[in-house]
Amino acid sequence: MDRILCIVSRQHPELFAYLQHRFKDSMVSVILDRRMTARRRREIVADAEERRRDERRRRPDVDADLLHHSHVIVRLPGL
Amino acid sequence: MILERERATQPVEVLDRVLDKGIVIDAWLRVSVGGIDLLRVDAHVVVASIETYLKYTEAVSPPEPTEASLPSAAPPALRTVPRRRTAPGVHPAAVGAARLAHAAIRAWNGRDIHGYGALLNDDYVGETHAVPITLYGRGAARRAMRMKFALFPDLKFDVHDVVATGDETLVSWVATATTRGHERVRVSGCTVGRMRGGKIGHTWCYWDAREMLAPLRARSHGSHTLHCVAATS
Repeated sequence: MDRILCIVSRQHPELFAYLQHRFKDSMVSVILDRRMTARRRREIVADAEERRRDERRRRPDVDADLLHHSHVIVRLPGL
Repeated sequence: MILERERATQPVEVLDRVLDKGIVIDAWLRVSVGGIDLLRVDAHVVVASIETYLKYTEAVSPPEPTEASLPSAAPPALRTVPRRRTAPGVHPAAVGAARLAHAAIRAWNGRDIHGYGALLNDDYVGETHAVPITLYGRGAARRAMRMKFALFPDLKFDVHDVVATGDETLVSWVATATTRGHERVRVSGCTVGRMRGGKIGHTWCYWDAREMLAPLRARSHGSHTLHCVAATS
């Protein structure tokens, strides 16, 4: 069964609080996007290990969607 | 001379007819004393063969949104084909909830005020994040819908995703409209719905007000428009 993530932009804490409460007992995980901006990421990520971990976290499509949307739905298959 | 005798219907013929054509039983029962519901039963039963059921379900299910149905003005990142609506193995209630959510959006886009009201439960409650005004019942929902169309005659919702889990739905959308001042507005948001008795029992609507007001503020007409939208949500 797919796992469904609802990633809410940091700009919309009210939406995050409501969705988290509403879907707390469901197959939808509501999380707040805590990732740093690209500029801050470049400043901090120094060594290779950190860089690799950072690459895994980055989802360009999600990042782009969160620029224009309050939230993004991501489906993780087979979990 | 021709003799016609009425032949008794055999049980097996009745069963064959039921499985071929299907029967829908839609019943409700409410027992209340002094306005307080003591007992309430909603029954929606479909009896048919699997083949018949699938044939008619396919016929009435909403069409899949396509990339072409998304607004061309949307940024490239948003112009993606919506993902699958429900995960495999989900409860049938979630499938029904997703269908109701799509039907509601179709009613809004089709200016079908009566049709939208018909999708709502008797005890429907509508809320938004923006204002502490709550809509109670179909009548209030229809009036609010009518007022929104008066303010934004070409209001249109493009659905980007629908998540249904149990009786809960999350519909992500982008709304576009032209104000009476000929300002083009675009806002993204979502509607969280809860189904009750096969209908929409509760909705909570959220949208990014800053996104909507950005082009309006630049022309200093924004605050008036926001007030109108908030008062009718």
